[in-house]
Amino acid sequence: MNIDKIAVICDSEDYDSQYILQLITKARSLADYDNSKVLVCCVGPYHKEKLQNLSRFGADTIIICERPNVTDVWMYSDIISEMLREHMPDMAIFPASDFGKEIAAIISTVFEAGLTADCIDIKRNKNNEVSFYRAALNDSVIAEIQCKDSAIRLCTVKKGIFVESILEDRERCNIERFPYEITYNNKNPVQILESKKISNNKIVDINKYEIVFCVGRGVKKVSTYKRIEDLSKRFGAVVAGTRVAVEEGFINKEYQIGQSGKSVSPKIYVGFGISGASQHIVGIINSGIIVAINKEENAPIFQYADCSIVADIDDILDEIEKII
Amino acid sequence: MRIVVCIKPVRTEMVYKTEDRNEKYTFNPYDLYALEQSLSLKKLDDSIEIIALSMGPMDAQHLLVKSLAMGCDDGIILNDSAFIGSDTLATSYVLATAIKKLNKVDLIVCGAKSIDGETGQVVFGIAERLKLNCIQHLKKVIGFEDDKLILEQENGDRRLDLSLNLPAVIAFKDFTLKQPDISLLLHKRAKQKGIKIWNADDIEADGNKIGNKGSKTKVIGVRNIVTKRERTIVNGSIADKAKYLTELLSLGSNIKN
Ligand SMILES: Cc1cc2nc3c(=O)[nH]c(=O)nc-3n(C[C@H](O)[C@H](O)[C@H](O)COP(=O)(O)OP(=O)(O)OC[C@H]3O[C@@H](n4cnc5c(N)ncnc54)[C@H](O)[C@@H]3O)c2cc1C
Repeated sequence: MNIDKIAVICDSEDYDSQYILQLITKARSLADYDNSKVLVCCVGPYHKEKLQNLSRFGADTIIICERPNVTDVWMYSDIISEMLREHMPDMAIFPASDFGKEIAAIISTVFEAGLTADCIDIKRNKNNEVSFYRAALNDSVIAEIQCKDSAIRLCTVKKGIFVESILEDRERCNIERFPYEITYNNKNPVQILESKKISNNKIVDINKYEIVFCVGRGVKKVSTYKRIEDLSKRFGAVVAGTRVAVEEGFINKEYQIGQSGKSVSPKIYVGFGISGASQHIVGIINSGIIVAINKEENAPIFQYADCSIVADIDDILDEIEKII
Repeated sequence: MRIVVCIKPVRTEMVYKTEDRNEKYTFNPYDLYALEQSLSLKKLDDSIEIIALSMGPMDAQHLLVKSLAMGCDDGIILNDSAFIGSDTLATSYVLATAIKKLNKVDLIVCGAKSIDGETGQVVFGIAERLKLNCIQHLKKVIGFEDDKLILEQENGDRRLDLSLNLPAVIAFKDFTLKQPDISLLLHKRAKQKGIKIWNADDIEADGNKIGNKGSKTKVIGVRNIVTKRERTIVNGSIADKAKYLTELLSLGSNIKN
């Protein structure tokens, strides 16, 4: 499959943000594979220097719809759809910002085209197709995905994955104005009644601790929790927990470790009564030594641990308290 | 007001690792959150009609029965061998087609994403197909005022109270792992009431747009990235194990990684 044209779709804010430059750089390197062209689609004010700057990162053609502040996803998608319909690229790369993902999902539906979300890599493969790579199953695997029966291959790409780089000796590229007439009526579906900044006065940095004690559902009694807390003070450790420990009310949400919480990389991690669900494990894989205490010999966490201690938590605590 | 809540059945072991549950499928935790939020509206006005809608295998029927027991007025499972293998595009087509058939729907509620697909694309796919407005990142339902829904949204570092014109598609951002408490009596009544089963013909789906055929992406392969470690099993008595751990912790910051 030949790829003749790769489009990069800019975000609603800055079309020359570092993020977009990363995407253009990646599009350029993919385009070089079969000498194809990079098309950059922008919506926003016409700013000559900014637009010309995009060519230094690899854009061949830039189209701009001169319309400041389009924040409505439907109008934005409508503009992008028209641009894509006119230029028909073989592939389009969107930023994986909230806005970018919304636009990409709409475009995928409009064009009935395959879309891969949150890509961490894009490659031309042996069969000469384009492969998109993304983390899946709670970040525990990388999936390779290809499009089929799609006129355009679509993807959103995560921020900071590719590094923007300026090319030497680039000729100035074409900048074309893209006329757009509003064809639909948007009745502004939402009114904002109130808007408050979410106060973040409780920023907790669990990564400053060298030892992390993490409690799971295996810690059932308040007394057990208190004993772990006392032990943590003795060793200068922080007490964190699994999602379950948070939902059970033992641990504050700020101290949740895992996919929907925080990632930690202490020198020593000790898990008390934790089963080892992948959503939790992804948050601890960069720890130095992982110690797991679980009464079930077959608990999955033991597969990821350096030291496996098969025991009941209270029994272990009894003995530790005798020693110290 | 008529509300459709889209619920994806996901494999139980993806959500609950150790609990020995004998049900093969459970609620996608994001959809369970969305369902509970939708049901809270019914408490404000009992005339609101809530329909639980799932595309999935027959093994997941019990989730719709549960939805009825939780307070939904209707439960529909979209089941057909032709739906198997649907990617996000085909899924949004099937759901939107079923919703069209339901007629006069004021609100479509979804979870942020599914825990097995994790794309969050279906919501916008449904909205585009039905030509409806769509908002996401919702935290909770506050209530309604003259046909407008009042919602709390958490977007980046801002918390907004919004008034939304209907009809619309909305998506919540949070999830819950707590299984709903359902009394045996309510469960029995829900079973008696029964759910609806619709196939591709029932919703008049275009055979080219569903299942594998209608999907535009295919997964070529997966590679594991979480590496297992060389494990040391600490043997001996409980006292030995305690001693091992205490010594390790005492080394603490002297350990070089
Ligand atoms: C979308 C999504 C996001 C999620 N994000 C996160 C996340 O960020 N972080 C997270 O942690 N989880 C997360 N989860 C939840 C995750 O799937 C698991 O449900 C959770 O990690 C399990 O917590 P647990 O290990 O404490 O409990 P369980 O899985 O119930 O395990 C308890 C363990 O304790 C052992 N045990 C019981 N009693 C004792 C005893 N007396 N002594 C010793 N051992 C004992 C048992 O053998 C068992 O292995 C998420 C889930 C979803 C769906």
